Amino acid sequence: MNNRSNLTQWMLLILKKDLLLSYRRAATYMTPLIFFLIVVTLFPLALGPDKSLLSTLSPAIIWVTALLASLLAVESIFQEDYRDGTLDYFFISGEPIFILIFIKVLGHWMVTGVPLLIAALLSSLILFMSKDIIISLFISLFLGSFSLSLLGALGGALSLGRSAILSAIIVLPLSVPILLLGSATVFSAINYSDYSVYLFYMGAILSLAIPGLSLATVEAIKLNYE
Amino acid sequence: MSELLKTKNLTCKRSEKIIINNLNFAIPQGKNVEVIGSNGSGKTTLLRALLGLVPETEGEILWHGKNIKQVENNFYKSCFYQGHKLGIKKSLTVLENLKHPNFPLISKKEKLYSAAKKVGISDLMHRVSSNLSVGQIKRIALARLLICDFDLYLIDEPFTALDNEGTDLIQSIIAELNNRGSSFLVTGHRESELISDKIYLGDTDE
Repeated sequence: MNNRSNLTQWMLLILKKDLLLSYRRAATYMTPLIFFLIVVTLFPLALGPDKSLLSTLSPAIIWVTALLASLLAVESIFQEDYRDGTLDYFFISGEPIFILIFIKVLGHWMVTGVPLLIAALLSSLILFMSKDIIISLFISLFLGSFSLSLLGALGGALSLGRSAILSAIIVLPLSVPILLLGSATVFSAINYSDYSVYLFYMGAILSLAIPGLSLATVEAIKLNYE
Repeated sequence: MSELLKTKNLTCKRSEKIIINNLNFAIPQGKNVEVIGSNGSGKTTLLRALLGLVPETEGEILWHGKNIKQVENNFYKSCFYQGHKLGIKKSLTVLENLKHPNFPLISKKEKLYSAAKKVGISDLMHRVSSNLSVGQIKRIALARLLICDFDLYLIDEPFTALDNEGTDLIQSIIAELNNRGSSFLVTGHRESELISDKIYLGDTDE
């Protein structure tokens, strides 16, 4: 094929197409975002305006809500591409499929994870979080939300053509270590102790998750072709 | 004339059931092969088996005389597949769908417009695909054939959902690509007027 693009150009094309599709369907990024903001806002209403209580509970509130919100977007990663045959083309492209899948997850994280990250920072104000803690919250959510997107991709691939609740059941138990490390990071920051070790663990999980979960997701998609 | 693709005793199974049994055929360069069969006769399975998407496949598939597994990358990069599912995104415009095909391809805007003009959708370029008819969607898929340059095109039921004008159009596109040296393997329920070798699978409609 004379006008064939190289792998990098195709990766950019996939990313651009996915971002364009998400922009056209606002529900992809608005649903988790609105869910996150509503749930976080409910806590001060339910617990009352006790600053110290809200501030103490804020890491857990933000992390659990971010985890649940990210689950809402899991189904949208591959479902449409599977239905309309786009995924077939990945398998016959002659390119490393796990890289193409990783690009799709990256696109998904950009439209679901990044807005959640920004929303979490805004929520820290509602929950009376100290400014010193916001950096730890931001870094832990940055690392954690990307790992959650990779886990979500695996769940989405395993539940292709099936109920969305199945992917949630698959993803939730696997995301517990990320939740524990993420909230431990912020709790340590609140207690003025060194939280870098938790961030290193989260970084290590993400480093392993990028190749590991991308490959596992490819294999999970292949199951639907058998 | 060199053979692009050849099968030797190709057998495909689906859930242990034999769908295609010991099929032998060859596709010469610049020529067409049409696979004819009723629903469930294994037309789609055959195309997908050639592409390695059917795990339960036996026999040998040769690409330029070499076992396809040895030259898999070269085969995939020379081969275009269009199944029942066209991979057209409903929320994108016609132009965006052509700009972002499902294969690694970068095309200039003029080429996209020229392809769209040939298939009669140039005035719909900025229309969102969800507002188009099935036939018009199919024409987007046809335009995709014109913006790329592959050696072998595997197209599943290209004549379905097209009016007479559309059928003539696809035949002229195939003829044009044949002249460039490309070959086609197409499927259908009944024989078309396409100049091709015919393979009959199972009980045909005719």
